[in-house]
Amino acid sequence: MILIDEPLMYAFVAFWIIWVAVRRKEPGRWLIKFCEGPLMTFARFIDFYVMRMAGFFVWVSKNPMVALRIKEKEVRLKVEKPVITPKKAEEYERGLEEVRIRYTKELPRLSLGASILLILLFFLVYLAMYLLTVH
Amino acid sequence: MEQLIPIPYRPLLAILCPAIGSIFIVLFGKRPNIRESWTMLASIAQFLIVFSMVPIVIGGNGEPIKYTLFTAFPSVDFGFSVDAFGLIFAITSSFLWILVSSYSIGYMRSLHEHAQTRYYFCFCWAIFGAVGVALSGNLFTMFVFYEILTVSTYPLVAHDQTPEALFAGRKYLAYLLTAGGFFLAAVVITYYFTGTTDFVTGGIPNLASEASRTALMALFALFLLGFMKAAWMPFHSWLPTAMVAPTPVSALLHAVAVVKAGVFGIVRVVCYIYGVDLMHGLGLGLVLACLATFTIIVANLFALAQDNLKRRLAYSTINQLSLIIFGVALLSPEGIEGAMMHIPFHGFMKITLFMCAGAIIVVSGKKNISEMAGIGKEMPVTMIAFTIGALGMCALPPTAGYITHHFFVHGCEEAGGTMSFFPYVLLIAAILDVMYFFPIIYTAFFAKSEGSSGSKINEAPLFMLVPIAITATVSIIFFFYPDLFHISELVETAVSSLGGVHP
Repeated sequence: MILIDEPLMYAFVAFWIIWVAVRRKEPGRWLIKFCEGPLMTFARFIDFYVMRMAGFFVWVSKNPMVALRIKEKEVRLKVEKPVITPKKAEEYERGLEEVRIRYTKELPRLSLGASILLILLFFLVYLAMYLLTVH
Repeated sequence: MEQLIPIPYRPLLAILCPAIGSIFIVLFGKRPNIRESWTMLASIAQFLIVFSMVPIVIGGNGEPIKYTLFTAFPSVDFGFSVDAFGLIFAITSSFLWILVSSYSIGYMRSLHEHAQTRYYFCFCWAIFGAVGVALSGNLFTMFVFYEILTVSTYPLVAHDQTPEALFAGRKYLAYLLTAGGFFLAAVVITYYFTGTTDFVTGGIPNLASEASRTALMALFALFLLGFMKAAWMPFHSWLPTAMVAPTPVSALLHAVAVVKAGVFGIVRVVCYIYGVDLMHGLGLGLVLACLATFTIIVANLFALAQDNLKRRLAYSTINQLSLIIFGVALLSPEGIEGAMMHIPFHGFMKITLFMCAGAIIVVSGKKNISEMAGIGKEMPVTMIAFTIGALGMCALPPTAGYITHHFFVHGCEEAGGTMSFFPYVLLIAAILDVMYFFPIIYTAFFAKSEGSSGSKINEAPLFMLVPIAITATVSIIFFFYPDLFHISELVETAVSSLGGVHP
C-alpha cells in the first residue's frame, strides 16, 4: 500500500539526485551552515550544563555532609548579603572558605582491598538478615 | 534440546554464556586464536540458547518462561522472565554478537590494537548486561544488569587510553551513572507505591490507584531520566563523544546493545509498568511523542553538520532511537508493533553502517566524509552494503526501514487526534536522512578524489567483510520476509498480550 507521504518522499529523492547531477553540489547548503553554526553552539551549551550537573553529583558523593553544608552556606551568603554589613559578609565568606578547605581535607579515601571488604561485609549482613527472615 | 537444558534454566544459561566465555578469554589471553575461539563459541552458544526459547514463548501464547534466583526483598525477586518482547532484544543482541566477534578479529588484528584480552573480556560482560536487561523479570533485576552494562562498557569506550578517549569514558560514566541514580529512585518509588517491581502485561494493576496523578507524572519523568541510554535530547551528547571507541564497540554497543537497552527500558515502562491505558489517561503519550519528535528533528540537523562519519552515524542513531520511542508513544497497536520491530531492524541496518565505517578506517585510515571521494570504486562491496544501510535509515525500499516506517505512519492514523499530524514529521525526518546519507553515497561513488596517495586501497579482510555482507543482506531480507528469526511473530505475540492497546 502506498502511503500519502511516500510520493512526497520519492519526489524529494528524485529532486536531490537531479539537483546534484545538474549543479554538482548538494541542495540546502544554508541549512547545513545553520546546523554547523548556531545549532552546534546550542548543543555545546546544553552539554556544558549537563556535565556540570554530573560533576556536581560526583563532588557531592565524595563527602555529602560537608558538601551540603557548603551549599547551605553559599545560599545563605547569597540571600543575606544585600541586607548585612560588609564586615558580617566578610565573616560569612571566611566561614565558607574554611568549610571548603575542610572538604578537600576530609575526603574519605579507601584502598581497593578495604572497599571490597566493605562490600563483602554488606553482603554478609544482607545474607544474615535474609537467612533470619527465612527461618 | 529440552533433554539437554531444562526449559526454566535456559534464561540463566543464556545470560551466563558470555560470563563463562570471559573467564576462558582471560585464561587464554596469551594465545589469541584460542581466546577468540572462546568469544565465537560463547556468542554462538548464547544465540542458540536464546533462540531455543522462541517456540516455547510463541507456543505458550505469550506466557513467559520464569526463573527466580533469589528473593531480594519481599515481593521482589532477582530473576528472569522471558517474554516475546524480551526475546526480540535478546535475539538481536546475541545474533549480532556472533557477527561482531568475527568483525572484531579482523579489526583488532589489522590495527594491531593493544589490550585485546581486556577488550574481549569487557565485550563479554557488556553482552552479559545487555541480554540480562532483555530477560529481566522486574525493574530491580533490570537495574542491576543495566548498571553492569554501563560499567563494563567504560573500558571499551576508553580503550585507546588517549586523553580524548579517557575524557569520553568519563563523560560516558557521568551521564549513565547519573541516569542510574534516577532509575534506582524510580524503582524504589514504584516499589513504595505498588509493593512490586514486576513487569505485568498491561501495566501494574494497582499503580493508578496507589499514586496521585502528579506523582505518576513525576515518576515517569524519573524513569525517562533513568533511561538516558536512549540518548534522547538534551541528554544525548555522551553518544557522539563515545564514538572515540573502536568501531566494533560503536557498532554493537552504541548502535545495538547499550542504546537499545535504553529504549527497551522505556517500552517496558510504558507497556509493562504504566500500561497503555494509564499512559493514555495521564496524557503521557503525547508528551513522549513530542519529546521524541524534538529529538528526531534536532538529531538529524546535528547529523547534517558532521564531517566525521562515525559522529554522523551517532546522530543518526539518536534520531532512530527516538523513532522507537515515538512508536511506543503513539499507544496504538501498529505504533507499538513498529517500535518493537524497529529494535532489531535498526540494529541490523545501523551495525552495517558502523562496520562499513570501521572497514574504511582499517583500510584507508579515513574518518571524515570529505576525504572519502571515490572510495566506492576501491571498496565496492563495503560501499554497496553502506548504501543498503543508508537506504534503510531513509525508510526507502527495499530495506527493513521501509517496513517500520509504514507501521509508524499507520500507528499515527490509528492513534488519531493530534497524532494524525505526526506522519508529516516522519516525512521531514526521512527527508533530512536523505540530506545527510545521500552525500556520503555520492562522494563515495561519483566524486573524484583530489590527488592520489599512491597506495592502492582494497576491500577489508574477509573476517570483516563477511559480517558486513550478512547484515546488509538481512536488512534487505527483512523487507521481503519480516518474520526472519520469528521477529514479526514475536512482535505480534507481544502486542496481542498487552491488552488495552488503544486503536
